[in-house]
Amino acid sequence: MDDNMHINDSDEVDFSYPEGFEKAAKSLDFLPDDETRRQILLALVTGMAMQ
Amino acid sequence: MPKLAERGIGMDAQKKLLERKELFDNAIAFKRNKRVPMLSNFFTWKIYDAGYTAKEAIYDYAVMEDVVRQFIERYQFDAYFDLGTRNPMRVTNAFGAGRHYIDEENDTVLVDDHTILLRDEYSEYITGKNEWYWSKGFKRTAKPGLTIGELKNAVQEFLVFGQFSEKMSSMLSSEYGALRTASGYAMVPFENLFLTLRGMREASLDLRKSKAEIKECMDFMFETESLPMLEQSLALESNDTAADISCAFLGHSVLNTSQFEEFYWPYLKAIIDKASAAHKTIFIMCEATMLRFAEFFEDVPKGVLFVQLEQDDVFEFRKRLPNIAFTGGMPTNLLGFGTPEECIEYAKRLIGELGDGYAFGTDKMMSYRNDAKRENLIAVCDFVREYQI
Repeated sequence: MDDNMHINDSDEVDFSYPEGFEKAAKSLDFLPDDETRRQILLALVTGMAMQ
Repeated sequence: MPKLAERGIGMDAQKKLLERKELFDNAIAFKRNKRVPMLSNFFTWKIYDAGYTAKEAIYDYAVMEDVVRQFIERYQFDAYFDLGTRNPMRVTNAFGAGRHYIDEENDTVLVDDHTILLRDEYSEYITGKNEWYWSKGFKRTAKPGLTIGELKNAVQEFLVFGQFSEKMSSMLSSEYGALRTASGYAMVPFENLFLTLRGMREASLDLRKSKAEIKECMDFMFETESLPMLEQSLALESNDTAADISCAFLGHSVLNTSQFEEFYWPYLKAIIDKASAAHKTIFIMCEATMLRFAEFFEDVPKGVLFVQLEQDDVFEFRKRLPNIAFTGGMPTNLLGFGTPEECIEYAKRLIGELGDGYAFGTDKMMSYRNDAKRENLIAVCDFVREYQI
């Protein structure tokens, strides 16, 4: 996705894959880098969210 | 994992950890101990015992830390199954969902059976697991209209929960010199379907209606999820845990013997064989009964399995499977409604008849206010800690 795309907190989460997933991961700007953002988001949605 | 001293654990806590580790090592290997080790299977009960409601403790990690500290200091078990991290509802509530909820009237935590993966989606899971999780699994789980801001908040809660979990584990070993149950984890694929993705009812039906599909998916899960997780777990040090690997044994409760043989045992046996070959131990958290499938466990080498029993008669279990160490057996109805003297008498019988290969524990997960009275638990813990075999 475009690195310069602006993501607003009020945007609804897009559940398309991989575009929506990448956009959601990119929004996690408090994490250090894109790979960490993807890994943490994936850990959440494949693990704890399924409980 | 670094050695104990390198992790900043003081000499007193190190000494306690080593003593407690030896007690569990001996129990699992059926070697004589000077006393029986004690394993806590207490969950939400300790919240009520500490004077809080479930809601107060689950949503406030400072309160939960106080709950856990009070419990450790009051009863002084050697190992702990739960450190206040069983119900991460701050995380699941942050994205507006979660299937666990607090019944405030009865002050207890409940979960409803649920289905996330639909019966016709097994092949989709196999061919594009991450895509399925994001576009279907998580979408069905999150509240409608979830915003990016809410998702960010949920991820932050997820990170905070991880920090809390690490803090509690570190506190247990470095301040109290006590053990967790295991450092690693193993998963039989049916458990993942039974507990989360398909749910109890639907997973049970699939064994009749979609045998080929569920088997293919479980094979895929085992190769791509269970085995890598197991390999990582086998590489971990376990110097602050009672066993090496923990494994849930819950879904067997809805299987008959032939279903267990076909859909469950091959995966569990592979896990046991790998752990045994690596000289590792497995803590099995068993709900319902294991004795119904005793024939499958007869040839498991002594010293590999350590089982938390629930509904099995522990004395019968010892006779039928003398190769498997276990914990459990202390009746909840006695702890909840008996006297301290009655509790001590029963604990004496457990230790006297079970001795080697046994760790003291309760006959179920302790979740409800009436599962135990404080004076009974203090009396029985004090007794077991001092009682020489």
